Amino acid sequence: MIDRLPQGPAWEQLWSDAVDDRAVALLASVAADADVLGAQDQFAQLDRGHEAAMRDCVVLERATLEVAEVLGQRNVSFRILKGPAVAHLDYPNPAWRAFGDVDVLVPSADYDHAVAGIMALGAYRRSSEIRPGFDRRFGKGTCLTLRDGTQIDLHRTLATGPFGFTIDTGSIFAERPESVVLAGVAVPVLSRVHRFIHACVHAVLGDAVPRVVTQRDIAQILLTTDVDLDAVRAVADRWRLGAVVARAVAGAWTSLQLAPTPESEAARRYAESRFETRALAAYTGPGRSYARQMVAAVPAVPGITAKAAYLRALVLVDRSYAHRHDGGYARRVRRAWDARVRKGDLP
Amino acid sequence: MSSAPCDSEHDSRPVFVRAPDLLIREAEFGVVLASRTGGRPITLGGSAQLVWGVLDEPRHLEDLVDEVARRGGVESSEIHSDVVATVGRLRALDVVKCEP
Repeated sequence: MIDRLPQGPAWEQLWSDAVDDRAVALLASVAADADVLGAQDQFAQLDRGHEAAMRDCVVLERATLEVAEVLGQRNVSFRILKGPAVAHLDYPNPAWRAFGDVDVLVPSADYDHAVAGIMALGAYRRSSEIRPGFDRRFGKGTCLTLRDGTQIDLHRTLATGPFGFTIDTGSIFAERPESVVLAGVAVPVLSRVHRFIHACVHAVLGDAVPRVVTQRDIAQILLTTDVDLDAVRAVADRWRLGAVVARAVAGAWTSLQLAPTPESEAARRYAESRFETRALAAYTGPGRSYARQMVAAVPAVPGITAKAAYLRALVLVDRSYAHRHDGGYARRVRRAWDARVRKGDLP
Repeated sequence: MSSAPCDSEHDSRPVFVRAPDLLIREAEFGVVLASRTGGRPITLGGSAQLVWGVLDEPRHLEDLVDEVARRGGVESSEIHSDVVATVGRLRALDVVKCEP
């Protein structure tokens, strides 16, 4: 906790970091504590920033309701992820938790139907598929943009790369969802156990450097809710995410400078399996890249037939995709080769 | 004393309620509200925020004025016309409804 807002360049840096990390709402909520000291113009700046962030959030929740309605009309099962769910269900006041897009998970079987539904709202895809049908079968999802610029991240699974194949999204849809009520409408979201695991996945497998807000989600759920830790361990074990959860918790505790707890100490002591260490190498460090994650996923693709189809899709990509992302087939093959060499699969 | 800012001709004691279709955030800066059907979000502050806060449950006008006065530490008669005007503005913004 802070008892005084820093002044001068230190304040400018803190503000800049908070804006970049989408953490202005959190900073403003901390500063709202009656005991925190600061200059009037600092509190005014925090109020303006907080208000702007919350105006964005309610507009995003409106988009969430539009997406929920169109998916419901098409009988597509779905779960709203991250932002609105965590803000309303895991924080004491949703105004503490800002977010910048709408994330929704759908079953693989309904994926194309869901894309068509959201595009019927006037959205367009920000990027094309590697090959037709790739996203529905192997991809993490796609990003769609509504006419007002709102970004809808449609997920088929919760991660790119190998862990995208170890996460059993079928079990998510098999269980009764929790819900969040937005403008009087109940919208299905992940259970708290799955919300916690998804926060860990996002922290470790998402951005190269995890956002403070994501790390706060992890600490928020662990320290202030009744999340079932036995269930977390069981799901993480089934989805081969033990190391991801351990690294996420340990990273959050280090980054946020939290006092040790039994959970954070257990996370630091976690012994990673060979699969976990090798798979995580594609997401971390200087060798981190989307291409490397795609190549590293090959061993995790279930079944020989699917593995062959996945490899074929990676090599024989749609021509327009290859030119847009790799500058042509030749460069794509070279990059794939380099990725396998870095991964250690080739000498 | 001002009349209640409600169109009802059938009930002399209409009830004021928050509109049910709103997306809401409340913090130090005030209250941000957006209708789920569209339009730009609005931010309430000052007396509008106070009246909005008191409408956390449906209230008759007199009850609303008394509760605002109690929270503000003033006499109801001192603020009655201001509360009526504020409720009128909130109704014009479609964030407060009047139910007969």
